[in-house]
Formats: sequence, C-alpha cells, structure tokens
Amino acid sequence: MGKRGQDIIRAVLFVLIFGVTLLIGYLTAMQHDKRWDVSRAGQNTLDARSRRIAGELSFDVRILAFCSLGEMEKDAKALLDLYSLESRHLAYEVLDPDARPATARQHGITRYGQASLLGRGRAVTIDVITEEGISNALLKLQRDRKKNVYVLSGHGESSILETGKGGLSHIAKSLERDGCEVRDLFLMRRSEIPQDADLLMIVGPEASLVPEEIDAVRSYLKRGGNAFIALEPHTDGGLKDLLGGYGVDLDDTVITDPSTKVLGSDAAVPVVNSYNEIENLGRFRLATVYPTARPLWTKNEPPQNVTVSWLARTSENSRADTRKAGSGEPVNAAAYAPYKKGPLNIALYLRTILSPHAESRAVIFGDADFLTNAYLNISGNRDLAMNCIHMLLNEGLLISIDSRVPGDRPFMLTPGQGAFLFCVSVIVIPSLILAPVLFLNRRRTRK
Amino acid sequence: MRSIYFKELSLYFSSPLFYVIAAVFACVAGIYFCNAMAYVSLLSTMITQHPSFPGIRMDSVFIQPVFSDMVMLVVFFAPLIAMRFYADEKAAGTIELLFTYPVSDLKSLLGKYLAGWTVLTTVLLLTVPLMGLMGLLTRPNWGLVASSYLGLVFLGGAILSMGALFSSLTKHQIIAASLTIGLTLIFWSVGWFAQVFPGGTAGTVLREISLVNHVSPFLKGSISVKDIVFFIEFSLFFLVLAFEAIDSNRLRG
Repeated sequence: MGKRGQDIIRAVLFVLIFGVTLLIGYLTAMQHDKRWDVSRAGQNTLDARSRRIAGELSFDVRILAFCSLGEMEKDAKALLDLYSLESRHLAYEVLDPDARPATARQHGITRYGQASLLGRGRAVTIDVITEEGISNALLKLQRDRKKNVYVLSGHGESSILETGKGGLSHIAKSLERDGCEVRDLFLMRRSEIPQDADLLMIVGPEASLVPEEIDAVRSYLKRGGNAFIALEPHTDGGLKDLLGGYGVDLDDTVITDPSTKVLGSDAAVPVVNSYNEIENLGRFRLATVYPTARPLWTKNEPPQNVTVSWLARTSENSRADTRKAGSGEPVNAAAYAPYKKGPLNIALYLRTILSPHAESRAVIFGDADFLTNAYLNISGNRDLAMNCIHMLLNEGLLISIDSRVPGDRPFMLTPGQGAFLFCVSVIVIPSLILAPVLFLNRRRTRK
Repeated sequence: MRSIYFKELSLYFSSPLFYVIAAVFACVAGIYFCNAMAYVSLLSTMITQHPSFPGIRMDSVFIQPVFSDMVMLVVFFAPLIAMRFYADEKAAGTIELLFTYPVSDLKSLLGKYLAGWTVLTTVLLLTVPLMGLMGLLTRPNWGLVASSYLGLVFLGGAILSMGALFSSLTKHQIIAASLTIGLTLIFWSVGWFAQVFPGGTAGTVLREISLVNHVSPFLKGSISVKDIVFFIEFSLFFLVLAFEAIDSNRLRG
C-alpha cells in the first residue's frame, strides 16, 4: 500500500474514532440533560407536581398522541418531550390518525388531539393533550383501584343523574373522568355509609337527615371517612349539631357582597378570590362564584384533635345578612343592617386526628349551587371543587394546573406609526450598514 | 491562530461583501419584523372589538415568528460568509502561501472559522435595533430574545463548519456556498422523515441529527445542555472533516 493509501486509511480511522467520541459525548449529554427556561410564564417547564408524578412512575407508560400534522403535532411533541425527560419509564409516539386509522380505532380515538396512555395493562384516554390532562392520566394509571365517591340523596339534594341546570351530572362526569366511581347513596335503606366509601358528598339537602342517618355520617367520620359537605343558606340538613361537634357554627344569615354587582350579578352572589394555603390549594388563583351562600363560623375553641381552617373567604365588602334568601325582596345589601362584616368564611377545612395513623377530613362549603351544572363551569368553580375533592381523596398532588397566563398589553399602530417603523427597520438601518461601502467607493473613485 | 483570525476579520470588514450581506440581512429581517408587527397590530384591533378574547402573548405572536424567519436568513447567509474560507485562497492562488505560514493547518482553519463566526454574530447583532423598536412597542421577554440570538449563533456556527468543509474542497465559492446550503437544508429537513419510522431507532437518529429540532427550543426560550452539546459537536465534526480535506490538499500539493 502506498503512502497515499495509508494517509487515507489514517484519515478515515481518525474521523471514525472522533465521530464515535462525539457520539458518546452527545449520548451522555442526552442522559444528563439540563434545561433553563427563560420563557415568561415558564412555558417550557412542567409544573412541579407534574414533574413529581412523572418522576415517581415505577412502571412503563406508553403515550400514543393522535395529532394532525403541523402545529398540533409540534406542541404535543414539545410537551411530551418534557415528560419523557422526567422519567425513563415514559415513552411516547405522535401518530397521525388519518395515517393510522386502525390504531386510532383500537384506542377509541374519535378526533384529533386525543391521547391514550397505556400502562399496567390499562389505558386512560384524554381528550386534549395538555399538561393537566397527562398528569391526571398518569395519576389514574398509578392508582391501584378506582376511588368510590358516594353522593347522598333522599333529602331533596341535587342528583348526579340530573343533567338539567340544577343537577350534579357535570361534577359526576368530571370525577368519573378522573377515575372515580360516583354512586348515589340513599342512606335510609342502610344503616351505615358503605365501607368502600372514599368520600361522602352531601350537597344541598333541603330536608333534614333523620337521626339514624346523622349517626351513620358521624360514625363514618369517626372511622376515618372523608366528607364534602355543601349547605345552602337556611337549610342545614340537620347537620348543625354534628358540625358543631367539629367546631363549626351555622346560623341563619346569608352572605351579601355589594362589590359583586360590578361583575354583573346581584349582591347575593359573592365572588371569592381569597384562598388559604391548604395542601394543593396554595396555588389556586381563580375567582369562584357562589349564588346565595351562607357564612360558616368557627367556634373559638374547637374540640380536641380537630383543626378547623378557613379554605375560602369572601371580600372585605361582604356582609353576613339576615335577609331571607330567595324571598323575592329587591336586593340592596346596604339597606340591611350588617350583622357582621367580611371577610367571611365561605368554605372550611376540618381535620380530625383519630389516632397517630388515622385522620378524618372534611371540606364544608356554605353554598351548594356552585356545584350544580348551571354554575360549575363559571370561572374557577369546577377547579376549586375538583381540587377539594382530590385533596380529600388523598390525591392532593393535582389536579388543576392553571395554564391561563395573562396576555401582554396589545398595541395598535396608526398608518403613520406603521410607515415610520417600516422606514426605520427596512430602509434606515440597512442604509446605515451600507454607508461605509459607499464611503469607501467614493474614496476609491476620487483616488 | 490569532494572526489568522485578525487577518481574516480585517479582510471581511474591508470587503464590500460583508456590508452588502449585513445590509441585505438587516433589510429582510426588517421586513419580517414589520410583518409580525402588522399582524400583532391587527390582532390588537380584534381584541378591542372582542373583550372576551384572551390577551396577546408577544412571545408566541411577535418574538418567535421574527426569529423563526431570521433562522432561514442564517441558513442562506452563513454559507455566503463561509464560502470564501479556502475557495477564495484557492481561486487567488494564495493557498500555497497559506501552507507556508508558520501556523499549523488546524490553527489556520480555526482562525478562519472563528473569524467567520464573529462576522456572522456581528451581522446578527446589527438586527438588535429592531429589538429596541420592539421594546418601544411592547414589553418583550428579553430572556427569550437572548435565547433566540444564542440559538441563531449556534446554528450559524454549525453551518459555517459545513461551509469550511466545502470551501476546502473546491476553488469555486459559489459551488461551496451551494453545497453548504444544500447540506444545511438536508440536515434541516431530515427530522421530518422521522415520522416514517415511528418509535424506531432510525426515527430517533433522524430526529436527533435534525438542525431544526435543536434550534427550535432556543426560539421557545428553552436552553438545554443537550442542544448546546449538539451544535458544538456538529461543528467540531465538520471542522475535523475540513481539516482532513485541507491536509489532503497539502499532501497533494
């Protein structure tokens, strides 16, 4: 072999070895990747809770995202990349449902933007590929079983089956989407709350529970059960004494808030945007709306082992009013002598330590209407309700990840301003760059 | 290396080519800027008519489109800077003279490459006044602006390294520039074919070697070690190929 041949072999070997070294370096960088997000709202970073959920995965999860080609596909990939960075158990594929119709059908995909998460032999489908959707779906896959939510009926409460404005079908559907089994509970037919109940919901009873039913609720709470109770003004469902035992006082007042008139409703619809930092509610920032609500008072000295914390409060402009709600009288909060000025507790959180390893928790709202189909989708009502329920179900990690980042200030240009900016950016700046060339040319010409 | 670097820089800055490239770059970038500005103004008008419409995110409707367009400018302009690295010397017959310099081929290559990179960065910095205009109109996310410039600088470095290779292979500058643009576009679009191999290694490889997949995160404000390492290694690889090509030229005399 001539010298030239040897040189070629040496060069090829050198390039190959160098290439392999670079490849190893890149693979190492991939494994130990570190990112800095300089976008304004942290749009390139997962929420801390999502990172925790993905990071704690102990089984393989495959995400099949069905997207149309283009922006939707790009956005899905960008989001799923962030998840796959957090866990080696997570793999994803972005598929075009038109190109893979059989696969789409197999996973029950009916439209663009849906995704199927496969793991532990189960599948969870989400309708929109968002961080909230994926994190929730991962949580569902991590669960060993479905959570049982019982909704009390038989006292004029709204029904989970009712799809009209006064029904609870929307919240029930939301819970089912989150992997819960929602059941109607007619307590008069049984002596106790079912043993498999993870949560008992009592939403706006119009008639009082009979003493046996109240005893069943009491014993349920004493055995470590969790309850979500929403009471309308003037009707306490016979729960006044039971709640009194937990340091909660109910009276016959309603909350009025003259400042809510600004938002287009009357004074009997308080708007709340003050929330206590309890578990996952610390980040809650959305306003919630309560049509006819009652204040919830706390006793000065709650019983031993019981902690009562306020969860949501009305504004300082609100008042506890003695007016009978729904009486048909014209609403004029100022006309009524204030019973007590705000801020008023509209939701409370009770935590009872039963033993070193057992506790019972309850969330009480001074309004039941906000859960109904008519009001659930208003502002942050659904998010707050779902957050509270998940907190009670010991799934406090999620669930509401607020992606509503406020927009920037818009600007409108007049034709004159537009022309000025065009001239500066397209004519003036390039001309200034070209000026040295013209100067040099002129000097050369003179010479 | 330093002497080559400064010699190349002085050649660039005393050549009308640099000013023409910079002026055309700034002019086209200005047009893209005005286009995005007009779109935001139109969106703003719509918002005032529909108060329920959510606010504008300048990051995604103003800054990102301007820089996404500027990326394509870099793809076409960086080869014009790189084309004269060696092709110019070959055409002028000064390549032999270069080989007689008391500097190694590697240092000579690095000097030329870094000078080209400096020139490209200067061209990019000439668009900073546009960002100043943006600052007058709205409150831009300067972190995103900086990250986008960083992405363009890294991309430019990668393209210049390909340009160095082709410039060392031919004495025709236009051929060197054309081949550089061609290879850049191949590395640009190769990720699109990853769809053909979903879930497979081939798909992953195609995605990972695609330039667009590594520059996009910078334009979205996400700076990652992986992307920086990619651009550095990509540039190093082509510089090594260029070095071998120069070495071969020298041996052939």
